Amino acid sequence: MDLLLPYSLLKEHLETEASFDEVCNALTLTGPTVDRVRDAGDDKVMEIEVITNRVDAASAYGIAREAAACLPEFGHKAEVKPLSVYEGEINGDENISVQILDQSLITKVMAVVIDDIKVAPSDNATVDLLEKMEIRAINNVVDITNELTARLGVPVHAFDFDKISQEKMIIRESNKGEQIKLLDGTTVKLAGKDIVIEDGNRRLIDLCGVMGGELSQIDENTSRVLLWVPIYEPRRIRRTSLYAQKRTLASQIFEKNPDKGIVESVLRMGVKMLIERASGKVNSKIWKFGEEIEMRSLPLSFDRVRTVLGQDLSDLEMTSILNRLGFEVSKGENKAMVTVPSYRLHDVEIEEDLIEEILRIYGYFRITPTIPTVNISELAPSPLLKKEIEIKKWLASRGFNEVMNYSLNNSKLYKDFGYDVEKLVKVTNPLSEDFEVMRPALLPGIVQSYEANIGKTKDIWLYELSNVYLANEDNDALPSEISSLCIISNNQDYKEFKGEIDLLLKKLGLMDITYSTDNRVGYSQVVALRYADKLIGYIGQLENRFLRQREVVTIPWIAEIELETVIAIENDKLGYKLLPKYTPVKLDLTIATDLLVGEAINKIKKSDSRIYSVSYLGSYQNKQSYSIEFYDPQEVLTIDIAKKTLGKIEEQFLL
Amino acid sequence: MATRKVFDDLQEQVSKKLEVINSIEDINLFRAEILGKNGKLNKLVSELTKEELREVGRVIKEVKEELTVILDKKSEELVSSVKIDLTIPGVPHKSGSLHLVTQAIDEISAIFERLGFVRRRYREIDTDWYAAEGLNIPKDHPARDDQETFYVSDNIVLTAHTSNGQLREMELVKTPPIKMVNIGKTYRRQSDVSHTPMFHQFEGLLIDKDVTIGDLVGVCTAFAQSYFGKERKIRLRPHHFQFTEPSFEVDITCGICNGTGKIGEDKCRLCKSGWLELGGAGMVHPNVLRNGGIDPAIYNGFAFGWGVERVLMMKSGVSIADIRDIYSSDIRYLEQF
Repeated sequence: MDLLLPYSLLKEHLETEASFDEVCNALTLTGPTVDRVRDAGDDKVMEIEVITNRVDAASAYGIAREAAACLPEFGHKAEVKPLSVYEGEINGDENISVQILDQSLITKVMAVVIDDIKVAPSDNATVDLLEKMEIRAINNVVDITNELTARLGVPVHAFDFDKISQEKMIIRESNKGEQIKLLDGTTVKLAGKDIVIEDGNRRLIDLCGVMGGELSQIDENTSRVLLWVPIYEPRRIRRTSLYAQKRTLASQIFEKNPDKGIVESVLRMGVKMLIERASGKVNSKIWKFGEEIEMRSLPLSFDRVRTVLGQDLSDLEMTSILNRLGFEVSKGENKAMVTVPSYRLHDVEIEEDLIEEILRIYGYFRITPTIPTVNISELAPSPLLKKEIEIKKWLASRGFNEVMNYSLNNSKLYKDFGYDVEKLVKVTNPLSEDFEVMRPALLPGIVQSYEANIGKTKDIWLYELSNVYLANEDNDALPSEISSLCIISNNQDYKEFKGEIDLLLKKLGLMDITYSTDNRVGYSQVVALRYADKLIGYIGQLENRFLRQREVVTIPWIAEIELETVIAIENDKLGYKLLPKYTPVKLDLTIATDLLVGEAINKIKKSDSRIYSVSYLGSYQNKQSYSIEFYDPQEVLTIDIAKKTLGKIEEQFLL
Repeated sequence: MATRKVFDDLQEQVSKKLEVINSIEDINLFRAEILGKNGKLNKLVSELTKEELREVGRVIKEVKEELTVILDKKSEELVSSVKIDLTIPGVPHKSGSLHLVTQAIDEISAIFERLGFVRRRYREIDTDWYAAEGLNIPKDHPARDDQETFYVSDNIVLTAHTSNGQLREMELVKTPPIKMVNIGKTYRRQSDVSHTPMFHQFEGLLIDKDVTIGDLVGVCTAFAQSYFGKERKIRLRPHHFQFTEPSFEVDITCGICNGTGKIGEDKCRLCKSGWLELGGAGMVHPNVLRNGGIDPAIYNGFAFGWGVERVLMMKSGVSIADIRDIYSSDIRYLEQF
């Protein structure tokens, strides 16, 4: 969360001779980062990033503590100023009647009643201060509660005591469906198990930790104020504020478990302000609830700190740093014992946390970089990763542009391609319907990519090599993530496209692919590709209806490759074909057959070992023509021998 | 002598013909006609008697040389007279391209390979245990706020960071040293000019005995300088992640203002006071080590997780106005890289 802190406010809690820039720099390097600085007349407002585990720094006082701890590390004197609170006795006639139905809801609370309140607008200085923090000034009482939160980091609430029926308060869990009208005028329906306060007439007067109820709000007639300083159970506050969509500053602080130890100071500072600014008079005892804070001591090995740091740092220096942070250090036998201050109990739980405290104040920027030279035994990436990048680079060098589409898409897209949407990997909380399901295939997405280029680029040759996701039948098991390749091209010449695919497969060591006609959604015509009976992919033409633009002139060719299957195929055909020592005998052959050309070629090649190459010349009706080269490394073939062999080949096709 | 005259005649014939030849094709054909294997010169030589051959042997050589010279000269003239404007725009064969993110991942991979890290790619969809709980992020913890996670079921999520790879790697290798970089897709419920719902991260993990913060700084610096440039520096700022302790944000000096925060008198618009955020890092939390089956009393380590698109955009220096452009399919955009 972000904290807006006017420097003028910080200076009220911090005594130092360091300059503004030096303060910002010291804080940023060792603790809360000062992201930006806003100019505000002769003041400056710091935008500070408060990280989740450092709610103790979500206030002026908290930042002052941090600054006082780190500035000396940069050679500057710095001290936290004592808090200005009501020192007198707190007593009176008013009776605060609070019943806590479930003690797990609230860990500490202190309350007091102030009478004779005169509600009026706050003075200029206060309004100015609140404005710098982007808080709207409302009236002196409400403004005091906001100022207390900003100064000390515990969100306090002021109830109009007269509006609390029978002056009775019951703190309990809410029931599902209960409603409460809040200070901002909205009415919220509760999920149940929220922390709420109801009054003597069973009316909800507070959505604890999130926002006060309208029923008990301070108005211009308020004369008795119940000042309420609570610490609530953090998880419930978080759940309530998320469900009700009220991410107020109060909820953001309470969900992070603020300091119980400062509650009394907050109360007393509030009392002082109400007396001074709203002419109030204390008129009750302090009503309190909550166990004594259990202190925590942790063992610390100074040697361990030095090991993690990798440099020298004396025990004395480390102790000094811890002390400045509010930790007490006492020497033990082997390890020192460090007592954690109340405001760090939520966060410092193990020795590692102490080490972090020491090292961050010491300054990470003081650490000398080293390169770890330890070697692991297995350094090579998996064959899949290796081959993927090789294939990508190959295709790019061949003229194809790589696209990368989102893995999430609209389920409609896959429905159109014939996928059963129920069987897809679905997201239960999509961002929009465009990011609903995980793609089971690359083809539909790449068709969209293709369409995005129609009319803009003449030659559209694309490929995508990435994961597709298949749901596991068992809902509790993880879906499969399978690497796939899809290529699309509007090359008018099919031979060129097929040539690229042949070349790619050859590069992967797969020659002599077998073909079979097939049917597949998305294709108007398609053949399946196999290597040694394993399905390795498909090649064909896109079905026209998948292109939304009707004036399209070329229908693209597509190829899908089962990448993981292909890469898993063992082939170390790193050999090469010996060059012929004499010119092979070349003869032409025309056959009548119903076989696909690819299949016919395979058959021809298989028929005799002395076939050096087979070239496809063309087809006419059911006749196919080939040019075949014959070569035998052992003997020089004559034309006669070649012709005889050709005859045998021809016979095969007559059968 | 009769033979000498024959050669003289040939030379005259050639000279005459050369005056009318004016195309490269013709001069090549003519050259073959005269000097080719079955050309006029060789034919003449073959018709000589043994005696005549002895007499004019040397002359033949001279004639051949002379003819070659004048034929070559004509050839050159013709070729050089075909003058073209050498500055016209070229029309190359179709050029392809690797996607920008692929290029970035390739480069990042290579840098870490050099540092001795093994390249991995772990699951994009994983159980809540590997994605959060095992990383010391209990359910209902405020830290879950920072990642708007996509859910596939109550227990299965689209990983919002590559940190699941840490637990998976520890389970795989079992005994340190462990030194890996996991680069993969990650998902978050966000879509605006600086966020895409799907993006990529790279996660480094090193576990050994007595690993120091200095080691982390060293590796991050090595990466930053290899990827962005030798003159860049990094710094660590205290931060908080549930799965590291201590935790840091790693910044790098801004390339535009050289880390000064100013360009002339004006504030540098790209960075925050001279620094740009690179990403998070930290020493692996003992709970995470334990969850991965590693004894934190013996071993410790560091980890960092940064965005691929993020470092990509920072490197180019060109401010890609909208990160969503990175996932465009427009070839006019893709082929620029």
